[in-house]
Amino acid sequence: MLRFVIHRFLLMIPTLVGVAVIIFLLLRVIPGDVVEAKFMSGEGSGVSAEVLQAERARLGLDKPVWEQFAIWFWGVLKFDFGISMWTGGPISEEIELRFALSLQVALMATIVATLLALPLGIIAALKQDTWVDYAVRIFSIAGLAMPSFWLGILMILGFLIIFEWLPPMIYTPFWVDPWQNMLQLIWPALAVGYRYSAVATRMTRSSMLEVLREDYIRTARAKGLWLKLILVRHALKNAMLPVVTVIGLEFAFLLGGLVVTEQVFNLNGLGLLFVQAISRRDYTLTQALVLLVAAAFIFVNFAMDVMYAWLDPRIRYR
Amino acid sequence: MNERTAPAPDLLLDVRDLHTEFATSNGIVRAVDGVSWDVRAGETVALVGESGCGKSVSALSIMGLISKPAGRITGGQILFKGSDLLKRSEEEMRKIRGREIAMVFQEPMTSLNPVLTVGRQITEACEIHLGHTPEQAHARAVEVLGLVGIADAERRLKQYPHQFSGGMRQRLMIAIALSCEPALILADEPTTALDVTIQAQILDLMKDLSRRLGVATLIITHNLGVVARYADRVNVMYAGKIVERGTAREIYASPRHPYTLGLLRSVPRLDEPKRERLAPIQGQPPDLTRLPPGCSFRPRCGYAVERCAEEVPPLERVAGTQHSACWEKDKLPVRAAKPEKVPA
Repeated sequence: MLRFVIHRFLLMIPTLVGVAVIIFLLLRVIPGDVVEAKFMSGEGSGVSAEVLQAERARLGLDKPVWEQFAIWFWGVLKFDFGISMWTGGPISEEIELRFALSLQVALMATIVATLLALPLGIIAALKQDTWVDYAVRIFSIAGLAMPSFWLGILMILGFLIIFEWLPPMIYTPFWVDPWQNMLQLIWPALAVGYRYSAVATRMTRSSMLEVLREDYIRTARAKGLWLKLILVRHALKNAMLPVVTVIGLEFAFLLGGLVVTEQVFNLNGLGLLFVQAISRRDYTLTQALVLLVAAAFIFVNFAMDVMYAWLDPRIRYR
Repeated sequence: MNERTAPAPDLLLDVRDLHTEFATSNGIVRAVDGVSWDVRAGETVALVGESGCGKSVSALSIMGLISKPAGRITGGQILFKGSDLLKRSEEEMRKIRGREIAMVFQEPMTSLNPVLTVGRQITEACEIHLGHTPEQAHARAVEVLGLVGIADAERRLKQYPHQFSGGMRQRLMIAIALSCEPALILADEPTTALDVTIQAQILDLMKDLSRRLGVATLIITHNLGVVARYADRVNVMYAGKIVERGTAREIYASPRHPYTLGLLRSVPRLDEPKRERLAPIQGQPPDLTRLPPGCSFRPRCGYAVERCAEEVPPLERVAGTQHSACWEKDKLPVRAAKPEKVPA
């Protein structure tokens, strides 16, 4: 098991290096650069070519691409992501709070989704083709059909109209005031988590149905085990493999992909920062963000691999 | 239905006029259609027949594991130690499963849970039925692994099913079945999925354990060779009904039903001169949703007469303990053979 974990862990490194190279090159292929975006947006005139050139030189953009990459990558190795080409502030500062916020929302949404999906999926599978199953399926299809930003708007309007109350709209970090923080973030977590639970519920249901038909479940019943024990010990562990995949990938996606929902709840998270960074051609910031989200994806994949191995000994012993 | 008097004292399991049906999209399937048979304490009884004749459904009916709501038992009695299992609640049945009646399944590759250690899968029944502590259950697991001939028990118990071969897994299934010292083991095609050489080992093991521990065994099989060597008594099933019954010796010496005769002719034998080819039974097992009137075997039978198309032949005594459900049972060709020499 330990060897497996170390092996998988080391495999993360080449993947991350690959991501770094690709994002660096891709950004340079996109037409326009940060200097043009800064000086030529809107009116698009009044700035001489020399000024642009001087600005490029200041940012190091006049150097050959390989040299720019070497400088940047050396910094990344030392966890120094440089300064934002747009604001001039250190990137770690730009990202820090927003990452904390997005990570917290993603974690909370994942917890909400898991707490909804597992019980609902299991009960739907057990009561297959009864009204319980249909109710769960309608609930989860509704979740799929409603975009979470729209659900978010409904929530806010609902609070406003029915309770004449608004959740806090200014972000308070958890370590400053946990109560205020939760009061703000629980709503986006619910809105996102509900939608996210829909896929996981259906996956749990179908996976559970499949497992419940397995021969070893019949064996467990023939042993005279309690139904609960059969479910928890014999069925759940087997049924969890595909569910872990869905939940893990969705979690990684939530870290960077919640642009509109963040807007609805007035959250200044990674999603908005991402959009801004790209439209401003802020190379260093975009690179850092992509690398961060890629690292999160890769780490979640690693965690899922370890989870698989823990769930299924056949993977562990290969 | 008519209530009979108390069963003979040594009857462990007495199945009377059992009916099990399944609702399918093509109509009602009478998988088990009025079947009666019994098992005495410590003896080995065989239920023989082709796929889909109702053998496995019979076993699952006894265990109360017929999949609901499609399948249901519509009539009859299953008397175990004198009391009717069909009248028990689900919770009472749970206490009987694994404790009093254990089951060994056909597919050892898929019948063990791949994500649990073998030890966990053996000990859990003892913990639940006998109230064993984990230590006691572990000791019992080591003991039963010894019984089924798996060496190095301490290490093996920590392993997972995929680390065992097919034959070893079937030994594990038998170990699980034995763990709570049941009175009866239902073995549903225990060797069908195994290599021929391993089949004999597993059957020898089951026979030996049955003798040593006094566990009664019901072997469900389609292989009459198996029956010859390991069963005391045989019930031959066809299309949900028992068509012939008797001791293994009687059935081998002189089968009195064309279906049994056909089954015997389709098994290769070493004690007879080599024939050019085996004689398979012609045709397919019947569609249970639309059985022909009269005898179900008639369309495939070489001895059928007019009466077979009209009336269902009853199961009647031929000689000794042998019974046959055939109108022509006295006119069938005699087939002499010693059961001991039929290869497994």
